[in-house]
Amino acid sequence: MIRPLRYSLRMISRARGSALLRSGAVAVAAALTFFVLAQSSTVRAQAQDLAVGGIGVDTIERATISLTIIAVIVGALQVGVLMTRVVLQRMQEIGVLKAAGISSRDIFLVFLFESLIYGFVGGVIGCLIGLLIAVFGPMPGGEEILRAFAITVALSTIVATLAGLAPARRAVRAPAVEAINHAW
Amino acid sequence: MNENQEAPDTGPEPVVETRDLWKLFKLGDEVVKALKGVTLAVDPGELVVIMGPSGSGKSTMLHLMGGLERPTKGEIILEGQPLSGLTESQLSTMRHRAVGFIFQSYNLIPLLTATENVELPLVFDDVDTDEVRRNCAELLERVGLGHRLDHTPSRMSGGEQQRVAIARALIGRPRLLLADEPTANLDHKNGEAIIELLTTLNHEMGMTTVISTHDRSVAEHASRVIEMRDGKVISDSGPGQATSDNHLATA
Ligand SMILES: Nc1ncnc2c1ncn2[C@@H]1O[C@H](COP(=O)(O)OP(=O)(O)OP(=O)(O)O)[C@@H](O)[C@H]1O
Ligand SMILES: [Mg+2]
Repeated sequence: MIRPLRYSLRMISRARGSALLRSGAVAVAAALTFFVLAQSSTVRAQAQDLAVGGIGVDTIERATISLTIIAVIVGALQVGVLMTRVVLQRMQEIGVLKAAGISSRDIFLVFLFESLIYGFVGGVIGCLIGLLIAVFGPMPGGEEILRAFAITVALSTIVATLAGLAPARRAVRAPAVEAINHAW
Repeated sequence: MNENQEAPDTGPEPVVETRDLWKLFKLGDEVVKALKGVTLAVDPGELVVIMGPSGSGKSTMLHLMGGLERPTKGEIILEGQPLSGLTESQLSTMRHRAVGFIFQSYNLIPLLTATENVELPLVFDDVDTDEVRRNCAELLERVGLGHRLDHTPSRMSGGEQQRVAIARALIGRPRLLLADEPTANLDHKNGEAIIELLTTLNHEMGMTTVISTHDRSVAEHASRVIEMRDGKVISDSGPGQATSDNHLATA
């Protein structure tokens, strides 16, 4: 586990610009998640206090869940597309690894870890962005922020990793010779 | 163990052997016969050059010998192990342990330094990283790039890149080195230097080497020249001095 992870980190650190861009794409979805989660409890409390006619706690709950689901889907699609592009870009490298007899498991993990890292870093960046946006609304309490932070980062990491499964499998399944010749 | 049942001594066991090797490719409705029944054996220490025009099946031959692809029909025996019985992952392990590949277009990883490119085949192994690093530096020095350890490929000439690729192929101490048109992208002078390097490695380390090329001058360095046409071997100078005198007893 540790060696594929180390290799992923090395490749990410060398492609700093594009890596940041990929994390940024994840961050947008994560920011939405964070914002919604952080605000929902505040809004819910206010709704209860004011007993605003029509806006029940249920409605807020439902809106929170829907927005989170949308953010998760957007984030998953983004990671899926980004990682597919990464795998295609690195076909030649994949071919070399295969020719050198690197195991499918290690090749798979290299790309899966890359997705995971984008999910995690994007999650953290997203929370920071979400926090900036939250300043303009009713400021949530420290506890809400922490809770939203934890959920967002965990969700982002898990979703990105799951979305990275298909591209990583694609890397493993690429026929070695075609990969080396960079036939696509 | 019953030693008496051992086969009589028939010279060294070939590093790689092919028996009636066929490889067909489907291209749409068409079937391309890349190899049509190739049988040959490469003995330890040989420097074999496979010559032939474009499309004659040289690359296919090397890919099959190195266990990078499976034949349509026939058997490959690498270090005494028939490859047909191996699973994909066993085949991969076999490549890892026994084979080093060198490609026409070097195929270095652009983001990695020379040293990192050379260590690539071993970065996932449970080995001492510092020792691997030292071996990388030694190998790079050996191929004449001791001063380029931390350079990335974009800062190196084609000849230098191919030297890095040679070091990368050797880092795992393979038994068999396969070079598919290693000089095709190089000018004459650099190409010559690469062939000289491969020849030296063959002589000094006894590295069993198979080089494919369509450059006639490369053949001058070989202990054995195999000519291919249209998926078949049309001539084979046979195992040279590098091997036992078994086949050349009449000389
Ligand atoms: N993946 C493939 N799909 C279809 N046909 C292929 C494939 N690989 C090789 N061939 C065909 O098999 C034949 C032999 O190809 P091969 O690459 O082994 O020749 P070669 O001697 O290496 O040629 P070159 O000197 O151009 O590299 C050619 O007709 C080629 O078009
Ligand atoms: Mg070829």
